[in-house]
Parts: sequence; structure tokens; C-alpha cells
Amino acid sequence: MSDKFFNIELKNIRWLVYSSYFFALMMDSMSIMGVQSEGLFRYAPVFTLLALLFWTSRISDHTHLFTSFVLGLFFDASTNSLLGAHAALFCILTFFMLRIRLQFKAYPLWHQSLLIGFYMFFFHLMQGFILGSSIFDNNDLLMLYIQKSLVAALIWPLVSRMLDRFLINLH
Amino acid sequence: MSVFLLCIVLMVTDNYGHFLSSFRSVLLTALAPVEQAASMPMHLYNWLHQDFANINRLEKEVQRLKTENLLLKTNQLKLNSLEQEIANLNALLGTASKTTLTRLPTIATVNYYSNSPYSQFIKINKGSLHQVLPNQAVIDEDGVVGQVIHTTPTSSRVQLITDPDNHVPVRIQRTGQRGILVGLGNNLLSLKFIPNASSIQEGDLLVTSGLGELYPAGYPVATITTFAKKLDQPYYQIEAVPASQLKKSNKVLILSDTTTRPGYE
Repeated sequence: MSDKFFNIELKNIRWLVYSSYFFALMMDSMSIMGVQSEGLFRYAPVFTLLALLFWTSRISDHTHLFTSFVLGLFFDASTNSLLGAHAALFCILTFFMLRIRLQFKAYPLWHQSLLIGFYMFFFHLMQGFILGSSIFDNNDLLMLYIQKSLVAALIWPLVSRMLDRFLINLH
Repeated sequence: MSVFLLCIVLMVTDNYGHFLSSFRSVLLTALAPVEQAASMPMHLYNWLHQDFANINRLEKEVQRLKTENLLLKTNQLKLNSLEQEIANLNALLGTASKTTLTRLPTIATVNYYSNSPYSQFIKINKGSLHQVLPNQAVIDEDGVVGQVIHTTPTSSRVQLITDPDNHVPVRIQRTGQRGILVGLGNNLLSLKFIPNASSIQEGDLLVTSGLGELYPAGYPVATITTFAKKLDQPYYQIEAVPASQLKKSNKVLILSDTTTRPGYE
């Protein structure tokens, strides 16, 4: 790992960040579309949140709170939920990541995955709380969200390695 | 902190008012390229699937549609004579017709349906440029699908009758008993406010009552599947399944706004 890698500035990789958000929103839209409900997309995690957490941990010259607010609003519009609900959740999780981002980067990948899995489960828990349906009342929903959080934890090393490789190639 | 407060203000405003409807439409319009890109693999699959479709199957489909068309034309003839008869009877009684469609219905194609457990909706390919307005009722060939909630210039979102936020005034076709049908998600509905003394049967058809002036009267909505009487409750606990093919319909009809005329009911 070079020193440059730890001092990434948003202005240098703006296109990569925006494309990853576009791609993540696209993947989330595919997961919302019911056609894929019986396939692998049923267990797809919230890619937008994964991308947001990745960039929050890697780019230290921004707080990413405004970005999380805007992405959350798009997510609200996309899922037809209460406007501001996902925006608030995205902001809370970004804030959590901001608090530990320096340590987070230094953690081994398995430790990062564990934290991401925990964040994702917290996200679904709060989502149920804000949108008025406790996931503990519905066993199927609880199991689905545990599986989604596990999948998020499992694919984190992949997403993280892939985007890190992009960053290393750019520098 | 200010961003978080803004989120709370947005949530409260969105929950207690409809001021943010146009803002949501702007967000949906901005999201259109993302959704278009997301639906491309599905369109590609459908296109490939159609291209390699069996000629024999297509011939059978044409034959089936021709038969259906013939039967519908016959029914249309009957309907015309019945309408004439009703008009004559109304003229004799001095009353006016119940509801009138002011414009012809618009046919739309379903782009996709939502898989979210918190919100049940479909996206259709007609929007404000095609004179689609929020609150218009949407039906398919089997019954009521839902109502338009948001429009963008080229598409609209339709809240399904199974959405927990959707309430449809209905009546039991067999007895005329009125109630409110509430969505439970997962393709299930619950019929509320049917007193314990009412006559209920499994398989009873629920049709729109026309109250509330949102859905025109007489369209099939759901069929009762189970009902139970609770000793400490004044009303039945009734579950129903939608009459329409909510997650299978490809084409839907957007009904134009209806006007209830005085002098009836």
C-alpha cells in the first residue's frame, strides 16, 4: 500500500465515485424490481449503502453527509418510502463510519466485514422501526434481513478489493 | 446534525401532508436513467425470449385472442342493449346514472413491480405527458389493481391494493354489505368493519362501492378466503386475495376521473 492510497482526494477520483454510486443505485433498483425476487437478488444487500460506507472510509477530506442525504432521498423515491427515512438512516450510518474510519481502514478484511454486516443489520432494524413494521414480529422478514446482512458481510471483501484496485491503478 | 434535522422535517412533512409530492416526482424523474439502465437486462431477456418464441405457440395465441375478441364483441352487444334499457328506466324513475367516465381509459404497460416489503407498487409507462394524474384508478382484465400515486413525464407509480397504506371502499357483491379493504402486503388483504351478524361466505366477491369517489363502483377487487368471528370483537376478521393478477399483469387500464352525480344512493 502506498502513502498515496491513504491520501485520496475526492477531486481526483470524482468520476469513479459517481459511477460507483450510479452502479450501486442501479443494482438496488434491480433488487427492488420484483422480477428477480426469486433469484439471487432476493438476498442482495443495499449496494448504495455499501458504496457510501466504502467511500466514507477511504476519502478522508470529506464528511460525505450531504452525499448520504442525497443518496438516501433517491433511495426513498426509488422504494416509495417516507421521504427522508432512508436519508436519515444513511446519514446515521455514515456518521458511525466517520467516527471510526481511520481505525476501520487499518482493520483486517474479516474485521471490516463483521462491522459491515453489523451496520447492515442495524440499517434493516431501524428501517423496520421507522417504516412502521418491526422485523421481530415477522420471522420471514427477520431471516431475510439476517441473510442480507450476511451477504453484505461476505461481499464486502470483494467490493473493497475491487474498488481499492481501481484506486491503486489510478495512482 | 442539520442534515439529520432536515431528514426529520422531511419525514414529518411527507407523513402529514402532500406538499412533497412534486419534489418526489422530481427525484423520480432524476432516477429515470438509473431505472432504465436497471431494467435493460430484463428487457434484453424478454426480447430474446420473444424472438425465439415458437411459431406454433404464437398461432395458438392469435387463435385464442380471436376467440376472446368474438366473445367480448358478443358481450358488448348485450351491454349496449342493457345500457339502453337502464337509460330508459332511469328516465322513467327520474334518476341519473351512477358514474360516468369523462375520458376514455388509457392503456399502459407495466415496467416493473416492487419487491419491497414496506411498499407495494408497480411502475407503468404512461405519465403526466399522457394526461395521467395522481389518484386515478388502475385496473386489469380481472379487477382493480390500485391507484396512481406519483407521476413523472413518462411514467407513473401505482400503489397496489395490497399496500398497507391503501384503503378501498368495497361492498360484498352477494349481500351489498359495505366495508373497507386494507392491504396487508404479500398479496393479501383484510376486510374491515363487517359486523359479526352479517352473512359471510368463503369465495364472496368484493366489488368497489364507489364511496369516496376514488374508485368507480362495481369493479371486482378481491375474493374472501378466510373469516373468523372473535368473541370480544364486534367485527369479523376477514382475509381476502386480490381478484386482479397484481404481479403478473403486463397491460393495465388507467381509468379517467369519475364524477358521481347527485340523485343516486
